Amino acid sequence: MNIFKKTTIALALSASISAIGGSAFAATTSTTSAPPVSKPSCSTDFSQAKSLVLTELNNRVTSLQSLTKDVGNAKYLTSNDSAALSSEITSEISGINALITSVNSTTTCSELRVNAYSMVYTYRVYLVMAPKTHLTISADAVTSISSELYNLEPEIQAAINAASANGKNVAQAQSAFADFQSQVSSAQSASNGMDQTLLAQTPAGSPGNWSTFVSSKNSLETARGDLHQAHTDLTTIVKSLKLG
Amino acid sequence: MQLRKKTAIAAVFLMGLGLSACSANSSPNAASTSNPVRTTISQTVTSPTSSTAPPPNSANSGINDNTLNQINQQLNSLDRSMSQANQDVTNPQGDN
Repeated sequence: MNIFKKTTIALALSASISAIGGSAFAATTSTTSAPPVSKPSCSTDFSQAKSLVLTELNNRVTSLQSLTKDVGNAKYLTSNDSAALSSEITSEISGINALITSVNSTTTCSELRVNAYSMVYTYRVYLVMAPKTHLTISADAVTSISSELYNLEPEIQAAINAASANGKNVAQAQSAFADFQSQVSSAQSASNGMDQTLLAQTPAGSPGNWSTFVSSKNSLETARGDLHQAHTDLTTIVKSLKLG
Repeated sequence: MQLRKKTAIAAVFLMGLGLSACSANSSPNAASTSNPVRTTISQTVTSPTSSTAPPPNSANSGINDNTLNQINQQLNSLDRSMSQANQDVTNPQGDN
């Protein structure tokens, strides 16, 4: 399903509220419009609507806490990127928790609607924070691994040269090494500066920034394939030179 | 076997190892003065082991199976994070 279609259908919580029969927030909104006016039926389903909003808020806290763990466990995330993501996630958790407090004290549908709207549009946990976090982790991993492989290149060439000097046929190793260099170079180019691009994406930029996440994901998938191929090339080199 | 005879045999053995400096000590107290000899013997014996030549073709390269395994582990980590990112982008949780 197209992400913009999803946004239209679901983002304003209207679809969810309608699903429980209240139609409290049945009016759909554009992603930039003000909260829709509550329908009178909200009053009869208020407790259900309130419960649903609280569930959605708690789900977001759980997701953000999971993102926090992912950042903490990311071995190749740079310290600056880790700090930036952690700060933003912590801020979102704080904001969502404040909304939970606010929702618990709401007594009217209009108050509930304002909180629900903020939950979606202010924080964008699923459409911004989740892909932003995981893509940044992946981008830094590609950068780190490709850099490490690049630094091996002089040593690989020296090993090939030494084997050649000893009379060994190194044609296979040299060919694999040429491909290794190409794959590593491609991966480096793909991830270069991507973390900064991703970190610059904000909830306010959604859904317009969705294309950035999609293109970043596609580039990183290609880079991941490049690095796996580089590993295969290096395996060929090690075996053909009997370096293992 | 008499102690003096044992000592004489040991002295010959040590001399065979080029350690003649200890051969004169044939007193019953030889054990206490032979520690340096034992150390020397140990060094003599272990030295060839520690200087064993490296396997052919690996002398000039630190790239080996361990390198490949380390890179493979790094790629596994990348695979995991990309799997999560792919899920986020292709099927966002909650749509919003």
